[in-house]
Amino acid sequence: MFIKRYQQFLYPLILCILTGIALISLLHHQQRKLAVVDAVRLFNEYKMKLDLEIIERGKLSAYEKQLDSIEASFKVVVNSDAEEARKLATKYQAMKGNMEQAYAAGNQTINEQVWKRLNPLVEQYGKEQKLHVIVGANGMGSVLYNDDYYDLTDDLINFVNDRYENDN
Amino acid sequence: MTDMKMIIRNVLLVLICVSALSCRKKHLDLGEFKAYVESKQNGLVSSTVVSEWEYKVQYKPAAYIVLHESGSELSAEERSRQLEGTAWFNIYIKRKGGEANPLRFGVTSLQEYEARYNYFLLEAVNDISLRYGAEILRPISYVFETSYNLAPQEVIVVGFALPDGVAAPSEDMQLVYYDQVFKNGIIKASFDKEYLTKIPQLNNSYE
Repeated sequence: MFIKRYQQFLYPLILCILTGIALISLLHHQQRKLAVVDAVRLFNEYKMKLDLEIIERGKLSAYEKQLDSIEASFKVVVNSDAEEARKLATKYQAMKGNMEQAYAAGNQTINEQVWKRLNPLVEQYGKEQKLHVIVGANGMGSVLYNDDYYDLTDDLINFVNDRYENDN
Repeated sequence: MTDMKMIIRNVLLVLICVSALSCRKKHLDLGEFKAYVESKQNGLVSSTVVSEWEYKVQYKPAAYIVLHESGSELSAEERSRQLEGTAWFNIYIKRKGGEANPLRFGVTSLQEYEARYNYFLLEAVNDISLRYGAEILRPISYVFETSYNLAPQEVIVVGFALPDGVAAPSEDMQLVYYDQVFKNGIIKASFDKEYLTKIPQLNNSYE
């Protein structure tokens, strides 16, 4: 009796509820969040990378001083003692080779250690911000265009630097 | 009118007494004091996790050091005075799950093990510094307390001389350790002056 009385309203009401559920579900799926981050800036502006560079530069400057010293000695003997000049030139080349090796090893150390620290932090940031995907733009064409809305580079840089300075 | 003045005066007196008492440093019993220093909530412990490694840095106030020393010829008071003007830390290094001794973890030869051991014994001191306010301090004392593979963690004890005229830390401090063995980069442990200046005192009866 009751159903029959309100039948003309009941069907449209059920239809409305179903449409509402479908809309909410659609909106929920559309809320999957995406962010774009400039990976090169993230790497270069991470404070630990800058600190490591200072340490590695210190190591290289020790080589540079030794090279300068050998070069100065070479200039003194180059016209007077050919044998000594030859020894110094060999020493200079060996030292330069060592310095280049140290430079390459330093770069590798920085790369490895910085990404070792950045990767879990980026993941943590993504989870905290409820992001589903973080795309790393690196200037190689993987991201052709994005507007500021999706660009969270500054925010992520602040996040990783804060974690670095204040425990992890 | 005179009564009113007296009431106001008394209320003010009570307020002054209450605020003076609340500003005084708390006194704690031995167990409470140890728990206070070792609790991360009180800002004297800093922990950093990098991949599977955990670095815990514990700031040790003078009273905490004295508590852990036994057999000293000096009285607690003398020893505390001796420690004035210095800041001491323990750096604990371990695998996150504590499943292996750090010195042995992943080593493939005796030489590699010895290289690690020698690094911690002799060289790690060069990779540790303390930023105190605006100053960078270098260690005045360094000890590597190896567990001889019996414990899943290694401990470094490091001390710094504070700038002239500073008896106990009252500025922000940051201990910096560049881990060259496990390649985890630079570890920074920060200690706010807010926490450093409100460390409770140990009850005299225990000193």
